[in-house]
Amino acid sequence: MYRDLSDEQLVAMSVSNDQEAFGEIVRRWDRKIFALCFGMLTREDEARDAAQETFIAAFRNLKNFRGEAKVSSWLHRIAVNQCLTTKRRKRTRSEEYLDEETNEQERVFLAPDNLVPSNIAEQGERLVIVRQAVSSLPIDLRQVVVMKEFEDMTFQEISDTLDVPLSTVKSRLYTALKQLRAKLERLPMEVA
Amino acid sequence: MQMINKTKDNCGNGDAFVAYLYGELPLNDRERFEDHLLDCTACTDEFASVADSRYSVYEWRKLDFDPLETPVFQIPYNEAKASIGWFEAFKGIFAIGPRLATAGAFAVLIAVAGFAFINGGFGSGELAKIDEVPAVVDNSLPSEPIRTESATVEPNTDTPEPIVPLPESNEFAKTEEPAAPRRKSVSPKRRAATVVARNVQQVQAPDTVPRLNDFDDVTDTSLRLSDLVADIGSLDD
Repeated sequence: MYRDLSDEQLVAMSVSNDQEAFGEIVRRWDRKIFALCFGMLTREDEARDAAQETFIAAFRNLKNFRGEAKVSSWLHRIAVNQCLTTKRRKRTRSEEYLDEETNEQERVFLAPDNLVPSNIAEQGERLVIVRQAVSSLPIDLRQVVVMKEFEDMTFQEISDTLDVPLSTVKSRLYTALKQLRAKLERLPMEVA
Repeated sequence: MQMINKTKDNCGNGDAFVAYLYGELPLNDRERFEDHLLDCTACTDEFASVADSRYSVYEWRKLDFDPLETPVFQIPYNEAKASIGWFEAFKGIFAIGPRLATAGAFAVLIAVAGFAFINGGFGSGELAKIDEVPAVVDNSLPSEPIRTESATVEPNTDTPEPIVPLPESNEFAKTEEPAAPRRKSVSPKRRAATVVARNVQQVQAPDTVPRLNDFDDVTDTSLRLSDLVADIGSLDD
């Protein structure tokens, strides 16, 4: 029932105290919000916490959503705010960060996605699609993706290895990620 | 990094996206980029899209290419000991290792040998018996030596001529012995008789048991080259 609804309809239903509708929003955007947080925080545990905090903040501010922007943009904005708050907190109170983590043991953590049985099949299917998408990239773009993601080379090292300018390396990687995004968006929402 | 104002697209920050995503943006540019994300919805959406693509590749690498963890094997040991009967426990007292048993046997052997040595088992008794052996041999020997340097070989009674005494065959005394006397002329008949008598003397070995130190008493009756030369010289004569 909820899968056929748009994000705006789900938000409207959530405002009217339909918790299942907000659950559908979380299920639909959980992975992308987590990827955004991971891109900003570079740590999975921090990214998972930030994603959880993002959805909590969104649920609390449902009534403030005016519909002027897309729901995805609204969630992205909340996620970026949450990540920056986490980074600033970590930067200013780096020594107290671990103590704070230990004091928050009473918080309820969600099980990692790879441990949920229903997600294992989706994950395997997604990996096959990602592999095919990377393989279908042009050779110059695929080359940069492999060297950056699998060989852990810096942009400067890739530039020296391929004998191309540094900006070319960055633009190639950006183009490769965009093409991957286009290939993965053709997948069903729950898989992509 | 030059930040451009908000547009519908990504404000031309494609390079900054990937640089920020992989942590290669300088600190100042990173803070400016984050501030820009708060203000630019298009860049936020674009960055989220790129971050999602990057995480897909990262997840693929992590699950398919990261090394496997070393498995930990826990062997469930049975700590409950089986009950042992009194006979098994008694046998366990004597159940010593093979090395200890060998060492014990060797120690006992050394102790026995030392005890025998102290009591004179090998020092006087056995050695005294060894000393007695030559005495027994001496008793069996005749009181007088069989033959001396001046003694002559007893001629066979059948032979008409006395046998010329042969020199001693003792190698130790060979240097001191004078050369065999050279006979000037011997008739063939006499020479044949001498050979026969010599052979008979060889057959009739001395009755006494030879000793290691009785070389002075032994008569060498073997044929010598000097005798043959003497015989040849006599034939020439």
